[in-house]
Amino acid sequence: MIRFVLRRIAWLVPTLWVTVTLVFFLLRLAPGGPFDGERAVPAEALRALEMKYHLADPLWRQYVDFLAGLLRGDLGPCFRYPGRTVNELIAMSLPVSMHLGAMAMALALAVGVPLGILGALRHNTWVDSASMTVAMFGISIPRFVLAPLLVLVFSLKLYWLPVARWESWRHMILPVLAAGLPSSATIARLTRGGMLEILKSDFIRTARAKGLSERTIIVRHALRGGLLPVVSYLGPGFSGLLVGSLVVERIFNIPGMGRYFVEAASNREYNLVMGITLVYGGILMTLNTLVDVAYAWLDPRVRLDEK
Amino acid sequence: MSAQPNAGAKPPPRVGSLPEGEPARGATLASDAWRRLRKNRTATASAVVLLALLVASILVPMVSSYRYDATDLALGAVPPSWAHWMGTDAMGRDLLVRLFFGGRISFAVGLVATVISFTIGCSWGATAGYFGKTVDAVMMRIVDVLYTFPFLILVIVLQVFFANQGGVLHRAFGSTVGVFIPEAREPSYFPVFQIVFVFAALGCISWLTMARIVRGQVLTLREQPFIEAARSLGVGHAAIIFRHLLPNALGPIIVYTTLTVPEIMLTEAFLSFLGLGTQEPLSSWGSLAAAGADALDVHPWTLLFPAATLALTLFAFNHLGDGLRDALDPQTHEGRS
Repeated sequence: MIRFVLRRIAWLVPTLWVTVTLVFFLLRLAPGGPFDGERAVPAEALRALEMKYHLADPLWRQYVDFLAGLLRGDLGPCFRYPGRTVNELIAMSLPVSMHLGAMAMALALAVGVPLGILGALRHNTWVDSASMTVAMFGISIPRFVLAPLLVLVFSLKLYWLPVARWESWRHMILPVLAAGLPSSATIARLTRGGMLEILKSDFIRTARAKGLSERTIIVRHALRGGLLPVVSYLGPGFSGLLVGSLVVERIFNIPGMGRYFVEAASNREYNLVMGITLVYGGILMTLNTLVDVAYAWLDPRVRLDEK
Repeated sequence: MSAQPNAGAKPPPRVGSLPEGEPARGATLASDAWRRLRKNRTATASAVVLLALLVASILVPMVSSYRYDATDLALGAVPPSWAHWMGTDAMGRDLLVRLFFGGRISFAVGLVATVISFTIGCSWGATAGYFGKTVDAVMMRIVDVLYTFPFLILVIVLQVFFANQGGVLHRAFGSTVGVFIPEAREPSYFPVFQIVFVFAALGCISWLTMARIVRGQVLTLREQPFIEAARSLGVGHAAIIFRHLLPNALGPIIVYTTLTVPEIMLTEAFLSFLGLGTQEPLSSWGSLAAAGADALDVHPWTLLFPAATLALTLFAFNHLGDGLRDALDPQTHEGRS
């Protein structure tokens, strides 16, 4: 088990390095630079700026500098927000994004898992089809449609909740709903599928034959295996939430990382794009590793495969 | 689905009284699945809905008296009426025509990207699974590494940096496609180039799961006697993979393909919402819904119609995929279910 975990962790670093290198060269090879905006910058000033940010250096030099900075944990300055470093900007916006993402994930699990279990226990009854139809709707409605609809109903018609911004808990309800509900639909379907398969297996029949109560069978025996598909979804699911929060953050005007990203990419903000890619990639890969470890812990067969 | 080497080898069972006009045939996986699919009312309805939407997308822009890009600024945004069944947008463009014109793009993006992902995924997975050992280990390790990429972010980066007017890729597109369609060299053709870029980018990110599924199937299939038979007859590797292995792994492949289409359409809509997908004056369901979301409080119909159509399509594709899964996977019909 320890070897398994170590091997997964050892894979993290090279994967992250490949991602970062690829994005780095893609960015530099792309036409245009951070300073050719709508206003033309005088040639003198441009040269001074390029000197200041080392953009005139040869490519390999910039790459080595970038890696050296990375090792020191320094992502460099922002071009568009003078005086700000990428580290500061990420330190400011990442907690907001993580907060939103964690609450949305909690909501998704709290709604999705019970819905899925209910569907599996009442298989082929109206409860099952009703909960799965609801889940299918959840999958089919994109976040950028759900969010404005929520705003229309709860803010503009009923005046219950604020339209945008990220301040009190009242501000958080709609963004968390918009971000979390589509994921809860996926989780419900996965839970139902996993539970249905487990409930058919021999050890559940044995448990029934022993005369265990239905409650014990579900909670103690079936859930551990039945939730495996959900566990393997958590990694990609959370990263999906983070990417989805690009939309939610934009609609609700939330000062999270997603909002900066699109802006930074269109403005050729090399350092900021690199920084955000690194953070997203790091989060995604760490989560995937955690999921693999959790999977190996929950399902002993995975560990045997590794030999 | 007709290529079923092992099913075709069996003599068809003799049945006493067959319905007239029906040839005596064994119950192949395909015919069985088809029967089950037709019995599934939700899946059939979904297929009909999708077909209707597809036909409408092709026909409506052709027969309507409005053009998708004809503005009428004096008219502005009006709610649905007899003249404009779905109303008009802020520039006075007929929403019905724009919606179904957008349907062409949404369907095209979904289908073309799916074909790309299908092609790469099947070849990759089948090759890895068939050759096994080192080839398998290397190829699947590459898939693992690619899986951990924040891919949507790469697409955004590619889109923003490479799909720009007059850029290298745009010029290359102009000179290659320009051979067949002279207008492709015009700057006004740029939005079309961007959509092509979205197709390609989305296809390139979605083949990973397909590769895994196909590999798993091939791993179990390649030990079967009929593959051994083919090999001992001297059939080449490529022929074994494409004529014998892939047709027999078709069930899960079809299901996953059906589920890829809505996923791609959703991603295209997402990119369009961020302003990176389909550009004005062209339209797709995503770009229409995004434009509608901005004007939600003043003219809600510009959000509701595209959003409802998009949701209906995704709903239908997902149901069809589920129906196909039930139809093609006999195991789901065993036991208690």
